[in-house]
Amino acid sequence: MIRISSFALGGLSLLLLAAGCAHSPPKELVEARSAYERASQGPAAQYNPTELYQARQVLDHANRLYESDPGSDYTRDVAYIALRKTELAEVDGRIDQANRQRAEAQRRYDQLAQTQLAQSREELNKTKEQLAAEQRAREDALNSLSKIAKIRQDRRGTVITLSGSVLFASGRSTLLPDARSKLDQVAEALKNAKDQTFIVEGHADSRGSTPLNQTLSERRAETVSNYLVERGLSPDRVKSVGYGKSRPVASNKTAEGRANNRRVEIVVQREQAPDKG
Amino acid sequence: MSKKMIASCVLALGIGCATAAVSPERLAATEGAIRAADEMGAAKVPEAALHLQLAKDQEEQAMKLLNNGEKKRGEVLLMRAQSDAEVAIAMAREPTVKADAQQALDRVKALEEQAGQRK
Repeated sequence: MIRISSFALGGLSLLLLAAGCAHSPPKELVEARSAYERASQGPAAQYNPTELYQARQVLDHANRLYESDPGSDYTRDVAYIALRKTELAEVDGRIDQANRQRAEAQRRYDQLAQTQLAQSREELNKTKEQLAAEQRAREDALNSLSKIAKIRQDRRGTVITLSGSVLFASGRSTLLPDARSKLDQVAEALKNAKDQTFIVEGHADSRGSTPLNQTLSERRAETVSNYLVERGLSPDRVKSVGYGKSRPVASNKTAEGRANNRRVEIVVQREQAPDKG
Repeated sequence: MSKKMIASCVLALGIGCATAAVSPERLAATEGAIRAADEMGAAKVPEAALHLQLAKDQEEQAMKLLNNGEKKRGEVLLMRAQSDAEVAIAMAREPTVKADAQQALDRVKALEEQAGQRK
């Protein structure tokens, strides 16, 4: 039986202990190695390779120091710095990645905004063209009435004047047969003015009493107004009013003047500017 | 320090063999990094605050060692402190940069949704 002295056993234990310590790297080096492994598979490798390489150099230095002087404070210090440099590379890698994402998003945003702007402009131009075409149609329609009515512009809007004798028999408010065809043309022309309102005004000359002229002018205006509504104009957009003899356009001293004063005016009101409130 | 160690000591990124007195540049670099981390608001970002405190503690330790004549260890601690301060700076920046990136992505998404609704 082999007897081993306690002294030898103690020495052997110390040797084993020393061997175990010499082969266990310090925790700073273990962490640095692990951090580098992680960093080399993350954004740092793609976006910040230079810093990662520099961290690698320090880690390599720490590894060499560990081989030559495993237990020294300096080895642990260099490993610590390697760990921090790796962590720095990781954070800077994430920062660079985020900056690139932001830049790409900004580029995409600018591109989309440009496209939308171009689309809006195209839509606006189409709308303008459409409005211009509608305006031309309205003007053409009104101009076509010049053969049967006087057309003029004043502060109220476009005024279409029809002679009273063309529309009504003397003293009456019933439409003459030929009046209907003329009013049909007027209605057709006014249908193009989709968003505008119309006021039908009845006027009389100075002969006869004021109440009589007032009543006659109101009835005549209403007759024309009702006829236009029958022909398709929206009742919400047509109003009628009688002014009797209060608004002459010519002298009532002559027959011609009185004839001019006996009239129906259809006022196409000017479009109101939007309330900017 | 053995000759072998001196020979193997690589001047990698400012890590050199501290056999001479600590240089003013070394001290200034460390203090500058800590100051920058403070000014970046590292104390308000949890992870950054940890590294900032480590940097300050190590710098304080380094100064004590240097005052006791332990220049080699003192310089190494200054380097450690600087490395912690640099990490603190980066960690202090990260949340803002990420938030900016997310905001930009959100703007694009909102505009894409708006464009989708117009079609």
